[in-house]
Amino acid sequence: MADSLKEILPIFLAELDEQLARMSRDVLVLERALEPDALQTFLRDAHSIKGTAGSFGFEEIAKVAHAIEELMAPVQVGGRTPTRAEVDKVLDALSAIRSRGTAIQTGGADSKGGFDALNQALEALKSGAAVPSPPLVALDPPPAVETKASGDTQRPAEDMIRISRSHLQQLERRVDLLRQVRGRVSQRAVQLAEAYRSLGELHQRSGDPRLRDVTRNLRALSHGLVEDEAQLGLQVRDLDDTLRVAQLVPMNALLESLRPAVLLHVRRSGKEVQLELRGGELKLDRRLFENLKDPLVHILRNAVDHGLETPSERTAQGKSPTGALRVHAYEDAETLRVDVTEDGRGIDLARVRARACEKGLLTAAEAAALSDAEAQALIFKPGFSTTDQVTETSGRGIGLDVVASAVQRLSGTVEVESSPGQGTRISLALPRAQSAEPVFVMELSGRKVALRMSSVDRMVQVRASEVERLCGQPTLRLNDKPVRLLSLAELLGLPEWESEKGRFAVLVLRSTGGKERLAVRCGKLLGIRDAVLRPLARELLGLMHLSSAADLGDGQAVFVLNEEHLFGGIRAEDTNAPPAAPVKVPTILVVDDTVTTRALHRRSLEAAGFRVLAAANGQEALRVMESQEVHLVVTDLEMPQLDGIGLIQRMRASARFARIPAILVSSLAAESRKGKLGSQGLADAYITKSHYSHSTLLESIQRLLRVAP
Amino acid sequence: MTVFREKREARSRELLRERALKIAGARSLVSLTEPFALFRRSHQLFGIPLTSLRFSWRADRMMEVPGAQGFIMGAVTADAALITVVDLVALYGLPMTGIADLKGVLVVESSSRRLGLACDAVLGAQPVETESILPLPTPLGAFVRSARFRGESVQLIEIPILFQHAKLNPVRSRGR
Repeated sequence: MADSLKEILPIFLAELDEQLARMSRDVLVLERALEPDALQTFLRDAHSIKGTAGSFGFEEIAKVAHAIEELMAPVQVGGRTPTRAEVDKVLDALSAIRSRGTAIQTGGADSKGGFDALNQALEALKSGAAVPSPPLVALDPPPAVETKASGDTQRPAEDMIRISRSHLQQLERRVDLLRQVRGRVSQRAVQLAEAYRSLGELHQRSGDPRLRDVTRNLRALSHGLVEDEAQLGLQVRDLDDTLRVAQLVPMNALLESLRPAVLLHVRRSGKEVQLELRGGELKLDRRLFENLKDPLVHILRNAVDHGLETPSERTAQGKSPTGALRVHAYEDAETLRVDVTEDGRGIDLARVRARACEKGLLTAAEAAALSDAEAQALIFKPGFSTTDQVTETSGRGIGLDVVASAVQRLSGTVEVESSPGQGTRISLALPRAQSAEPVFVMELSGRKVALRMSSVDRMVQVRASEVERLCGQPTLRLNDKPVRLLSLAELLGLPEWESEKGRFAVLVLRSTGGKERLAVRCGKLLGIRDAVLRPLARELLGLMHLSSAADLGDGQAVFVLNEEHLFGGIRAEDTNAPPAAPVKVPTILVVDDTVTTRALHRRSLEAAGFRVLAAANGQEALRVMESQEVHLVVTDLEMPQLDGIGLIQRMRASARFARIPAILVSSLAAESRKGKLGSQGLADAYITKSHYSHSTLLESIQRLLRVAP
Repeated sequence: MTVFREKREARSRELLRERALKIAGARSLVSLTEPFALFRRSHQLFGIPLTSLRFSWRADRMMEVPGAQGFIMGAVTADAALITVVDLVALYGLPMTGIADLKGVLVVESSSRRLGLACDAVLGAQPVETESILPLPTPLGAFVRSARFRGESVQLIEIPILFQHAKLNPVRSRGR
């Protein structure tokens, strides 16, 4: 791609994202009624994507856009609304283009990602066949964000300018550096004040008149520095506020991006749902915009799968056959609140309690003792699901725990309210902007760590004699209730800190969205500091006991412990589960009947740090997967007993292995079968041996294994 | 003796001729070398393409990462982001020789991702002769090139491929 085109690629991608969002909305409008404006806008957007993508050399996007135009031409000519099947195909195709756009955005213009989805969409559009259902998460990645300099979308176009995200990030970094400088100036002002006080005392003792003059000068300097520091602080705060306003994104963009993802899911579920989106007029921080979509999609799909009844069930209960699903965003001074409400069957608390016992999370007595609110909070526990039926996105025991984790990473909280037969409301409360947040900083054997104040219920001083043993575990009695005591030093493998007076500080933590309490024995408390929380770098994501790093503003940073992991550790101990390894290296299963190829793959992948298992054919591979955890499969196509296609088909049909990504590596002779595989949506990636290279294989593996933080 | 001298001189002339042809055939002298930032870690010499290097950092400003594996030396905050510092010797499982004396951190970047590389000594920007860069494989596996620099072996790190190393892309499990 020419350099001139590369420069404007981000603009193309931002525009593409806007066009796709508009087209998703318009096609749903057209399904209800043939509105000429919506049809014109839709076709114009399709045509525009076709032309622009072609000029960038993204022929595959252009072809899909062209096929969409072709599909919708009879609608225009015939003056009819598009059929549901046509709308579904268009929505799938738009999702596929979005996937490809995301791949280009993250991997550059030469990225190979997203082709499979595009090819499937194209074939479906051309052939009239129904599009197979690839994982919805892959279909709908978070949209690229283009923030606008002004918060008001109603202002005339000439008042708006488009600023690239990287420019805003650069500005953010500069402001951050300025904040650090201010922190250092502040420290120096304190040091200077101490210096002149010491000098003043020296002058008083010695009576030396020269020291008096030096002291006066130093005092004047110190006062001047304090004033400068205050002025600098004000400017930094102003800059911070201005930058924050510049990064606000319309809530409507987030809400509308939910619609296609959820409606596709609704259609596949066979239920009837009216989705209402409220609060689109609000503005939200870019960080929230980028991280809220996935949790909201999880909640909405969960509501469709588990909350809302089928039309016949609803009718039998005297309800409207169409379920109501509402996302309502609103805000107060500091908090953005998003409520997801449905009028379905409500949470079956008896089933929740029973499931918690089956999964070993609680004993029958503990389950019975839970209040309704506590029982409802169980749905946010990892691995918890009340359904026995596994669908594409539900019933795998993942979902709402992901929501709780995502919300926690955004420093927010999640709560649930439910009434039998009336429905359920899940409420998210999130800080509106990333601002300084108070953290408890402590020292353990010379190492500093922090805990977020928002998770701390209170602090107490405890004597060693006050620690009881309950079921062999150290426990404190707080307000007559036993609370499990955890030692941070023990968790981090450090020596315990002992205070001189034989007492130690304990922070009592509360869990996200729940009523659980946990007492944490701290080290030496250094105080409460305002800190900007930085997300963990990708290399550190395996360290589950850490959640972020707290930038204290004076050039110092400390790691913030993951409170939910602390709670998780207690639960695991209580169920005698083995502790998790701090870093989980992905395991790749190589399946090939040729010893040389297996050895080649093994050598390459082990050199890249993966754990590698091997099998000689599909049958053997399935046996290996039964006995060991596998994160990804690289398989040959032609093999005895069970070939690559058979293996992937068995994996896809199995509840346990269906989500494991598979890469098919085969010779050029088998190329003709690629189309068949692609249309069946079996393999997640396909590499022909003629195009094989270590880099290509590694890129595919990393892409498929990537887990959002 | 004369015969040997003549043979040696003839061989020297032949080598000089070959070299001159290569230089004349190349577009410029510059294309015969690639610029690398060379540094030592645990007596092992490493090179990173100069274009990947963003900045260097003092090792004493690094913070420890509690509970991290041995190849993670620590982390630094710079430009409003947290940057992990890794030890290439530990990452690639090379033998540790002598006592490492950590002095600094070289921060490299590829596709907007940054990583700090711990180093004991920085030899600065050095041109490495393209011809001395050996084809694959190398002692560190198929993803690192090696070359000779002043008679010493140097491991040339491909930054985009380093970022694909599985240990640098751990899975954050959803459960505990």
